[in-house]
This record gives sequence, C-alpha cells and structure tokens, in this order.
Amino acid sequence: MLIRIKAFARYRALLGEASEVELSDGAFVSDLLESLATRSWELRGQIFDGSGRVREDVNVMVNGRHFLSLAGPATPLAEGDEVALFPAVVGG
Amino acid sequence: MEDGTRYDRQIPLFGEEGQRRLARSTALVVGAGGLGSAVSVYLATAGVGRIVVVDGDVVEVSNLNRQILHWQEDLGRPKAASAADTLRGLNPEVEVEAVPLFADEDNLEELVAGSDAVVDALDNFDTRHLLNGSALAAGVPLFHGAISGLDGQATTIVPGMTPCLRCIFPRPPPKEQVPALGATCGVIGSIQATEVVKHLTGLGASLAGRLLLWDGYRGRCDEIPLERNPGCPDCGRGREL
Repeated sequence: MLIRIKAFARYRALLGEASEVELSDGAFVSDLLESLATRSWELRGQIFDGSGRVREDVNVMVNGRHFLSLAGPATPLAEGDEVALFPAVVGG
Repeated sequence: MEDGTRYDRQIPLFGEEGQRRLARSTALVVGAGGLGSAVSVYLATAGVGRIVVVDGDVVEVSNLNRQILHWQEDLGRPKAASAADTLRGLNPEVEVEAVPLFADEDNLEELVAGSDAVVDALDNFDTRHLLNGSALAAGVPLFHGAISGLDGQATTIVPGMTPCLRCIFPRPPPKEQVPALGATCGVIGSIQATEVVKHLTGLGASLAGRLLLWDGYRGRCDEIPLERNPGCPDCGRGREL
C-alpha cells in the first residue's frame, strides 16, 4: 500500500517535501518510520533516540491525528493515509 | 474612543462596530516573552479594550533580543509590569492589567473566565496544557503559538468545535532552552494577534482545525489539517473517564 508523507522543517530537508512510501498491507507507523530511517543515518537520528524509541521531539500526525493519541508506533496504516512529520516547537 | 483618527486605517477592515467590539473585549495574554511581546503590542495598538498580561518572570538581558515589550531600563523589573508600561505607552486608551504570576492551576481558571480571547504565549507544554483545560472549561477560544529558532507554529482552538491543544499535542515534548530569534516571535505572534482580531471582529476565516507551520529557514508556510481525538482527556470522552 502507498502512504503519503509530508515532511516539514528539518524533516523536509532530509526527506524532501512530499513523497510516497510503499509498505506491505497491515504495516504500522513503526514500519513506516523504520522504512524512512533506512534512507540515511542522519534521518535515523532525527526519528529515533539511542535506544531505538521514537524521539519525544518529533511529531507524527496520521491523517490529522497525533500518533500518540492513536496507538503510537503500533498505529495501523491503510492505503492512502497521509503522515506528516515535523519537529516539536516549544518556545515562546 | 477618545478620537476617531487612531484607528482610521483599520476601521475600513471591520467597520466602526468592529472597532467597538475590540474596545469592549478582554484578551488574556499568558506569557510576556517573545510571542507575548508581539501579540500584546498588536492587540494594544489595534485597540483591544482590556489586555491582561500574565508572567511571573523578571526581565533579563538575554530576553532583549526578542522580547520587545521590555527595554534596557526594564532589566530586573517584573515582566508583567514592564509589559503593562510599554502597552500603555503605545495606546493609552487600552486598559492593561499586569499579573506578575506564573500561570498555574490556581490562577488560570479565574483569569480565563473573564476573557474573550486567550493567547498562548508560553514557553512550555505543561502550562500550555493547563491553559488548554481552562480555556475549554470556560468556553473561551485559545490562540496557540510556539517558536524554535526560525520555525514556528500557530492554530486557533475553538472549544467544542476544533481539536484542542491536547488533541493536537497529547504529550509535552521535552523541556529545553530553544534558540529564539525575535523576528520569528514577530511572525508567529503577529499571526496570533491577527487571529484574535479576526475572532473579536468576525473577520475572515480562522486557523480553526489547521496547524500553520512557519519554516523561516526556507521562507515557507504550510498547514496540516487537524482532527479531534474522540478520547481526548481534555475535550473528548476521556474527560469523563
């Protein structure tokens, strides 16, 4: 199945503006992130922390919902889903 | 209004009635840092009748690259008092209340309840989530903004209609001292002020349900459509659990 990726800020520089990723049916957000991380070590470092968990300062939105309000990395994906990646922005 | 000339250039946008609506309104600005500076300056000059500025911090020299409410002579003063002086100087028609406290669960409920618009100009998500809960409870729109370096984001939260801040960002990101450029605070704070003025005057279409992302490194603006979380602990079913 095809998943659409929209990357912003530092993720755009690493992933390009918009792209599609082919995943096997039944894949999860974790599969998508792992697939993206294989593209470069820099990208892996921007997605996962040293222990292999998704970094706390990355926002992953699946069709407008933060993945942590779904099932986190175990969120199932479906054909045509749109996943947005952007860094947490905290300051004021 | 003491004269008809101060607002002559903006009344064509929303009419005399729009200007009167601004004058009758109270905006709560939580945080008098970089974002709070830009937002409150533009709300004051636009003629929002009452502005309440909440900040428990004091002015430090490292604030002055971006926090345009505070000047060299304000070093060591409470930010709320410094902010109030600047805003009164910009527009003496506006009533400004300085609240020299850090926003917390003890004071937010009362502060939010008397407001027509709540501006999130905070620097951490723990307090933002408290503010989100208070704004939802009072049914007052919340105008979110945040910055880091040349990046920024903004959205408008309308209780009962749009995703709340907890829907959008369920977990506070790690606390860190982020790089901050005054101009980025100006971009995002000005967007927040625009949203507040639009809301108070009934102008245009708001950022409700959309997260605006500003990428200053590339000079780009994007948006992400947002959906509510039905199980949200702040605004959804999770609240009753």
